[in-house]
Amino acid sequence: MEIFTYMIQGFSDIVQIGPLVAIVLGVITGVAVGAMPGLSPAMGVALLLPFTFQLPPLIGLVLLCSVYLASNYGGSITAIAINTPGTPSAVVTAFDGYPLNRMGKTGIAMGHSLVSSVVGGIIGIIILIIFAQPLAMVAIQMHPAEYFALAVFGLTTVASLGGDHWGKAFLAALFGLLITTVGIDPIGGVRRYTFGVRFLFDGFALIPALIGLFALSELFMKLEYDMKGNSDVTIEDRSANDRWPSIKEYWAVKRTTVQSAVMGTLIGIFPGAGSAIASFISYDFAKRTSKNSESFGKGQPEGVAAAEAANSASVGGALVPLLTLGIPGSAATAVLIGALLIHDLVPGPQLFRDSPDIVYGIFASLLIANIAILFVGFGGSKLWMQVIKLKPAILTPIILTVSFIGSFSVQNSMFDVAACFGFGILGWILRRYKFPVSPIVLGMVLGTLAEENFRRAVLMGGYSVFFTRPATLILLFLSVASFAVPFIQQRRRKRKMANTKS
Amino acid sequence: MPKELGVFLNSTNGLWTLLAIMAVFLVSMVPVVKRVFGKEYLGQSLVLLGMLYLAGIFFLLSLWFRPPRLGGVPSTVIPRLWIVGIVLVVAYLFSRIITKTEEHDPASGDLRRVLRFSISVIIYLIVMVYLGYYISSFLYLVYGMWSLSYRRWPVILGVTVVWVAASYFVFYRLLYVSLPRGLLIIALFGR
Repeated sequence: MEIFTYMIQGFSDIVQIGPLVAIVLGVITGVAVGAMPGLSPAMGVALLLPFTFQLPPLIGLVLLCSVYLASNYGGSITAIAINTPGTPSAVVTAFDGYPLNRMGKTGIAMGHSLVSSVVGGIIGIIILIIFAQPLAMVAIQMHPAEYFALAVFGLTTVASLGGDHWGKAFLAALFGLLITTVGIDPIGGVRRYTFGVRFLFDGFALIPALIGLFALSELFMKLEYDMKGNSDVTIEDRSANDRWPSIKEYWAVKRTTVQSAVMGTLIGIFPGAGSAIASFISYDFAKRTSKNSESFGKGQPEGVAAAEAANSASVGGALVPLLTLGIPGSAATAVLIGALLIHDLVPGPQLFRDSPDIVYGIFASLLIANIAILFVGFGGSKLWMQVIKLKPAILTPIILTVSFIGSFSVQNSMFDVAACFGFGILGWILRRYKFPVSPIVLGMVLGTLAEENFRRAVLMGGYSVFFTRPATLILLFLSVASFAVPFIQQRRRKRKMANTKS
Repeated sequence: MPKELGVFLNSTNGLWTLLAIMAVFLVSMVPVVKRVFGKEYLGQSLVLLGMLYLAGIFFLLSLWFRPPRLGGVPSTVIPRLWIVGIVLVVAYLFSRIITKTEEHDPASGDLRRVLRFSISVIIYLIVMVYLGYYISSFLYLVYGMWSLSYRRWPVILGVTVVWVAASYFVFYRLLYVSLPRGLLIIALFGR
C-alpha cells in the first residue's frame, strides 16, 4: 500500500511542466543519441550529465533516465535501416530487423521494435517498482563485508557473461579496478600513483574515461575499418514499405515480448550485465522456444521483438541494484550514480528512506517516458533516418567535439579532455583485440566500493569477518561459482566436440 | 628499496621515464613475440605484455607507500590484490595463445587514417589551450571533414558555422557550461 501512496505522489511530482518537458527532451535526445552510430546510451547519459548540474535533482535525474531509456530504443532505428546498430544492444535487433528491411518490410520491423521496446520497458519498470523496496529493506542490514562480496560478485558476473572472451572481460575489469587505486587512498590518505600530478589526486574522473572508452574508441574503430557508411536503403524504398504492423501481428508476438521483457529485467539486475547481454540471451531463449525458430536471423518479427523487449526491460533491471544497493547494473547506470552523487543523493537503501520523492518520481517518470517513446518513435522515425544518413566524415568530427565538451565540463579541466583522448586510444586498442571496454568502467565504479568496504570490514571484524557472515559466504561462493562456470562450459564444449569428431 | 628511487619514480619525471621504458619494452618484445607466439598473435601479446608491465610498475611503486599509522589494512593491499588477479588472468590468456586456442589478431584496417586523425586531435587540443574551444573547434571541424575526404565546401563551412554557433548558444548561454577560452584570448582580451 505504501508503494501506491508513493507512486501517486511520484506521478503528481512528475505531471508538471518542468519534469514533463525534461521527459520529452530526454526521450528525443535519447532516441537521437541511440540512433547515431558511435554514440551509446552510456555516452548519451555521460554527455548530458554535466549539463544537469544547474537543474533541480528530480528534473536532472528524470532527464538522464529518459535519455538512458530512450537511447536503448534509438539504436534499433539504424540497426534496422542500414544494418549499423546505433548502440551495442541493437546488434541483436539487426539480426532480423535488417533482413525485414531488405524484404521491403521496414515498417514491420520498426513497428515491432517500437512497441516491444515500450512494452518491455513498462514491464521492467513495474518489476523495479515492486521489488526495489523489498531489496532495499534487506540491503539496509548489509555489512561492509557483504558489500565487498557483492562487488566481487558483480565483477565475476562480468567475466562469466563475457562468453568466449570471458578472460579478456575479466582482465578489463581488473584493469578498471587497478585504475581506481590511482589517487589519494580513501581510508589512509596515502598518495598512490599520483606522480606529483595534482590532477591525479582524485584519480581519473569516470566521465572522461567513459566517453573515451565508449565514444572515441568507437570513432577510431570506424576510422580504421568503415568510413564509407552504409546507405543502401533509399528514403523512397522505406516510404513505399512504411506499413506498421497490425494489432493482430503485435498480438502474435506477445508471449515472446513478455518473456523477453522479464528475462531482460532479471539479467539487467545482475551488476555488470548490460542490455546487450540481455538482448543476446533473450533472443537465444526466444529462438529456442519459438515455433518459427528456423526463420530467426532471416527476417522473423519475433526476433526483433525479443531483442528490443529485453533491451528496454533491462533498464528497469539495471536500476534495481543502482537504487537499492548503490551498485551499477550497467555502464549507463554507472554514470547515473555520478548524477545521484552530484545532487547529494547517495544511492543505496537509505535513498528510499531519505528521498522517496526522488525515487518514486523517477519510477513515475520512467513509465511516462515509455509512453513518450511511443509517440516520439511513431512521429519521428522518418526524421531520425535523415539524421543518421549524415556521412561519417561529417559526423565523426562533431562527435569528437561533443565528447570533449562533456569531458571538460566535469571539472573544467583540460586534463580530463586529455584523459578522455587517452582512454579513447586505449579503448580502441583493446577493442581491436576483442577486449571489451564495459568491464573497465564497471571496475572503475566498483573499485572504490570494493576497497572501502573491504578495509572497513577488516577494521570492524578482522579478516575472518568474510568467513563468518553467512551472507558474505554465500555471495563469495556465488562469485567463485560464477567464475568457474566458464571453465566448466568450455570443458563440456570440448568434450562434445571430441565426441562428435570420434 | 632506496628512498631516492621511490621519490624519483613517484615524480612527474619518473612517470615519463616509466612510459618511455614501457614503449622500449614493448617495441623490443615484438621480434620475441613473433618468434615465440607467431605473427598472428602479435597485437594481443603486446596488449598482455603491456598489462603485465603496468601491473609490475604498480607493484613496484607500492613498495614506497606509507604504512598505516593507526593500524588497519595497509593501502598496498587492494592494489596488490588486483595486480595478482591481473597476473593470473594474463597468464591464462597467454596459455591460450601458446596452445593456439585463442583467436588470431584481426586484420588491420586503415591504421594511417587513425594515426592522422589522432595527431590532428592532439593538435586540436593544443590549439584549444591557446585559442579556446570555439576557434579551435571551428578550425578542427573544417580540417576534420576535409581530412576524411569530404570535399563539399559549402556543407563543410555551413555545418561548422552552425555547430559552433549552436555550441555557444546551447552550452554556454543555455546550460551555463564554461568552455575553454584559451590562454592567448584571455591574455589579449581578458576574462
